[in-house]
Amino acid sequence: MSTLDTRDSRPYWQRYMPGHHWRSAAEEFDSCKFGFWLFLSTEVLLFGGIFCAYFIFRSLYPGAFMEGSRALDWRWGALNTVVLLVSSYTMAASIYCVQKGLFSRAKLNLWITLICGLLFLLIKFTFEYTPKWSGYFFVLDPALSHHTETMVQGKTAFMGLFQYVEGYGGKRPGSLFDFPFAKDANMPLWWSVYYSGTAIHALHVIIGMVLIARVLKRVGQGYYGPTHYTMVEVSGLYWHLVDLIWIFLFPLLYLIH
Amino acid sequence: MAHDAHHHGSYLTPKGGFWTTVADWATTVDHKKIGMMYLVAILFMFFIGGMAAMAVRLELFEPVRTHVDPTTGAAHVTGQLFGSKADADAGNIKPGNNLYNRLFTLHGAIMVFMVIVPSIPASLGNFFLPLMLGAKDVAFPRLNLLSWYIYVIGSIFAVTSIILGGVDTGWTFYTPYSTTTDPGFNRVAIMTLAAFILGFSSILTGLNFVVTVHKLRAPGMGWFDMPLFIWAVYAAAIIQVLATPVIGITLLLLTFERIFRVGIFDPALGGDPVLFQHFFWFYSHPVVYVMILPGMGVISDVLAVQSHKKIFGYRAIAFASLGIAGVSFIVWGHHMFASMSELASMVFSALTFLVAIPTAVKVFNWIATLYKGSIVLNAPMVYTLIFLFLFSIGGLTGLPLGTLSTDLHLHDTYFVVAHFHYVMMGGTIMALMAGIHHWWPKMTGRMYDEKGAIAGALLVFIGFNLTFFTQFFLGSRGMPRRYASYVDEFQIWHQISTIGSFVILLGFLVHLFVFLASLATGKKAPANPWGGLTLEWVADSPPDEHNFHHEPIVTHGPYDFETVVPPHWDPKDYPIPAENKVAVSHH
Amino acid sequence: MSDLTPAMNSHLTLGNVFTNDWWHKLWFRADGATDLAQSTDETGMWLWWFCTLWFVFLMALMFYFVVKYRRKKGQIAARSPSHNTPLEIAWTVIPTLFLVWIFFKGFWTYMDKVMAPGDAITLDLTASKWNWDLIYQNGSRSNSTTTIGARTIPVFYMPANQAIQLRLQSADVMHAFFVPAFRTKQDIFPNRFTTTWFMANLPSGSKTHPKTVAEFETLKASAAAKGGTYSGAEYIKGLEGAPYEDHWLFCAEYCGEEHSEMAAIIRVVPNDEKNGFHFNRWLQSIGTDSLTPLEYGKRLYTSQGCSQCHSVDGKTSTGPTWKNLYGYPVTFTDGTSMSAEERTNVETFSNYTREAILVPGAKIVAGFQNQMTPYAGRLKDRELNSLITYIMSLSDKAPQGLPAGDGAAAQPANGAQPAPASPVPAPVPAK
Repeated sequence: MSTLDTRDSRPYWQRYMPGHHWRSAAEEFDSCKFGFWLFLSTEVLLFGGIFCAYFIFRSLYPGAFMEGSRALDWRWGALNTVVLLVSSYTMAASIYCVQKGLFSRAKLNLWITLICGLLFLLIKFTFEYTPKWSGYFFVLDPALSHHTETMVQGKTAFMGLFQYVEGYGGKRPGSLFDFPFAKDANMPLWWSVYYSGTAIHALHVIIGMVLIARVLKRVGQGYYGPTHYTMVEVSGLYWHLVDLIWIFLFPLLYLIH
Repeated sequence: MAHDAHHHGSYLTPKGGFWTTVADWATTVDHKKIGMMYLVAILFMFFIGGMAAMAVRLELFEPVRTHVDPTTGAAHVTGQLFGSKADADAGNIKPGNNLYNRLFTLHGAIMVFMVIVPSIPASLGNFFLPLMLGAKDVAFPRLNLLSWYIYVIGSIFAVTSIILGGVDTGWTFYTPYSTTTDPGFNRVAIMTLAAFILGFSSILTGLNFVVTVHKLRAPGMGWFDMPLFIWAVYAAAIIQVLATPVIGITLLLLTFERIFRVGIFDPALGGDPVLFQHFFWFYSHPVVYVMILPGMGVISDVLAVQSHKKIFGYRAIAFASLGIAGVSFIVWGHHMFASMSELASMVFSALTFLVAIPTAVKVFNWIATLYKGSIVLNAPMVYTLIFLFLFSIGGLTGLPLGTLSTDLHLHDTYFVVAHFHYVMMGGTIMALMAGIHHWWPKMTGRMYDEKGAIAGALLVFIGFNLTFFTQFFLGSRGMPRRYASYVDEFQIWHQISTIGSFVILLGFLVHLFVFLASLATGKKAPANPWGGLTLEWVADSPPDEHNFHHEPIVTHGPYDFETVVPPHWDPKDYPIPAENKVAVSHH
Repeated sequence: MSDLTPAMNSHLTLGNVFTNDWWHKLWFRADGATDLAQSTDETGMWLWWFCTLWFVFLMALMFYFVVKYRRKKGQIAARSPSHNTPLEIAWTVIPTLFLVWIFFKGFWTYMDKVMAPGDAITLDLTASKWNWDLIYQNGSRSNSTTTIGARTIPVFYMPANQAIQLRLQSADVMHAFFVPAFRTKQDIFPNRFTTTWFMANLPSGSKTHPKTVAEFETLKASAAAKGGTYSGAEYIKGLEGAPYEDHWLFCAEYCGEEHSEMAAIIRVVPNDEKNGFHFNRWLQSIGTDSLTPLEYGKRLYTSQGCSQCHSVDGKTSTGPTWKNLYGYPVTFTDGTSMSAEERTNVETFSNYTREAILVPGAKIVAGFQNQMTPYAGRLKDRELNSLITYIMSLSDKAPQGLPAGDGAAAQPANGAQPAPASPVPAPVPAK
């Protein structure tokens, strides 16, 4: 990046020099943000394709889409929405803290953001995906109480943490998805839109978490500070986009009946 | 940044021994080295795709005929180049047809995704964008290197798919054929993933260019002081950023459909094949303008420099580039007139004619630039004239394809094949050749042999017309495309076309020889052999690692040939008449 | 495969080099075989001349400038204008006007090409890898074929001067219907119907059916002697000496290994009083050992259980009556509706009815419950198509191309004279 005098004992963020092709650090910061907004527009267009498919198939097969969204438990979706909103707040707070030089508070906020991301993924995988694929519910899942008759006693997995329910789980996507209660022949389309949308979103949550983890590590090492916090800002922008996409996915998939 | 006291030598100077140099190039963030690596890779992939095309043309020299022996009743096959003798004797044409189908798919996929889309932006664009702007590098040099590696990884995925046997879906991957063919194998998924990965390379390059043009212009260079090559690459970069994600999601969903049977395009799952076409062409139409706009930018610059003449209608060309980029997003349906509703077809046909106007205006402006110029007929200029000739034919033959009644006849025939080869190869590739020759002295520090280059150009030109003009007739006479064989009446046209393809091959071999000879023993090139006025001619040939010794300050327009002595030229060799100096303005 | 086109005058003289004729034949090989094809060609030739003249003019100018303004040593380019507003406006506006004109020309012919006339006869054509399967009104399939090497392709006889609409569907992947002589094309899908139509002109008379079996054998032998196979018409009783014209039918959407071998022949024969009812005779000659689509549909109405909930005489039951569905508007429980105009379009009506049978829950007619068992996976394409044809015939607005079913259309509602007998006779009972 830039030549640094190793005898200088100031923290990295105070010694930082922009790339040699920039006229100033401010120009580099502005350009990085501009470039990142351009990148975010590509992400919006990527998800735009999925939303486009959603709207087209919803208008063609409204019955399938209504039934499909009833098959989802809106409470998990709402919980995930709250989790992501909290994480967006703590992400923004961490940027503010770095700008003010409050490094330990910044790290705390970043940790909370990461944990929220992890919680999001855990809820999605454990409470939403796994039962639908395999019929195995997490033992503490409140939805289990609705399936006491079809619960197969003694059939558990993963050290007794998951309980099998007969007839509930469909087949994992990989063989034509077949939700057993579906009357509508177009249900596979609903499930395709649901899985593509949420899976690609979950992938972006993971990418966001990688970015935040790296930022967290580097805040600890003194890389970022009041005069140099480009990566923190940019990771924040990415995380906010991930949150925003979920804010659109949630009502479209879970709430509209 | 003021005077840069470091003279590192040219960017081509090796840093040490062989492995040190390799490591240097593998980890470089220098836009010039990255541009060179792209150039070599693109030309190599062009050769591979070209070989696939030669195989296709060889197969089409003779139609596949199955003969039935009247006495024994046994069938045997003649005219099929592919396929084993055992199959031919058994009268089985399927294996040979299968190989043919894989080869034309390979040709299309390699040429579109690995050659033409990156061609000029990734090679000449990377090399010259910063130089022309007076900058030291692009906005995000490390992102540039990442783009290069993503290109390499995507190409490896594609090659893997090919080595595993290749795909036969055509480069357009229409469903439900692409979701059902080759069951049990994932070659289609690997190829679609390859294209998905290559898309990211394109997006990041485009992003880099947009920010560079906005932020890194030299002092004194306003938007309308930029060379038209920059305008063209900028317009193409905007399309790259906005359109490529759509093919990304399309290919991702197609890959999911193949592997997980989670799908929205396969009718067996309730999906719609026409929806796939809409998603696919929403990107693939704008991308053809990503392919041609930078080529047009090269032509603008080469034309101006080689005729020492200000471009006619600078602002018209600049705005036409942006206009073409904008309109390109709303015409995708003209690829689907045979499968859409009447209303949609009508709207798309009308909009398609709209995009013809700015394109035509550019051609008129270029020809008007030649008026009262001072033209030298060297290889770049010859290729420019070839571009104008071939691209005009390509563009004009788009008109019957945009017209609804004639398109119902010509769609999916060889007429379309001829049209897009005229614009993509007769346009972009010829512009690439013009640019390579024009900037060869700057990039390599050596001159090439003019006579050899012009001979190669003429061979390519003659071969190209022989190969592809005949295909217009083939198409309008009813020959469908993607056919491994055909009925007798089409044979003579196919034979002429195949002969033409060999002439093209010969022309490119001549070029290869000329390039290698230049690298080995070419004369050392001066900094400004052609007398250009844009900033890249201020730099050394080849440029210093940091591009310029002093940060350039712009005091004249890019094409002010009438009033400005070209950098590094002796004013005695460039006597400006007194009447030219009157009322100077640099627009 | 030898020459399909009729003999044409190919003498080149100075006179006809400058007329449309020679260039037209170079581009298209022969005149279009329908009136719409010929008007497409006219548009094509206008475009050709416009493009050629513009191109020649531009290139001539380009080469002239390159020669005249070669660089002279020691001389700098003179000052010249870098823009000229009137010129630029002219060369923007004039091409625009031409393009607007061409757009409309192409658009009007296109609309005629995609909208079949009301008196078109509808036939079902199914494309599959790698065959064409056409079912005529009498339920039969063509038994005429021709051989190209070892491959046999079907020959579909068609009547001249009669509008034929084809209801197209695919049994597997996308295909496309392309007849170069008709200058028309239509993509074919597995999940819905598409339609195309044509009205072929009278054959030129240059090719005729063999008059005797012996003549047919002679033709075959002389082709074999030259090392090929005879690809013309065979001897058919009742069509001796009948003129015909053959046109290629190609598949124009890539569909796999034998995409290039998926061809058929459309053989046009006259079918009128002046030239002879050759098509009718051919239709009779192929026999009717299978049911007509109408008869088959009527049988399925009872055997598949439709009669339990749907009447055909107008009485309301558990489900809507099948009387007067085609050509009449309908409203659904979710508030959407289809207009009478939409329901008169064969393609739209067929697609709706197909969905209503396979996935009835998608659209429920207002006033009824969602109770119908879906038939997805239980009916083959041929059964489905026959049911749809039967349902169409029960409307008093049934298209003329469908013979009237069950007396419902025998007396037009306003008491006018019954429509004249269609050129196609009622199917002849099996011999």
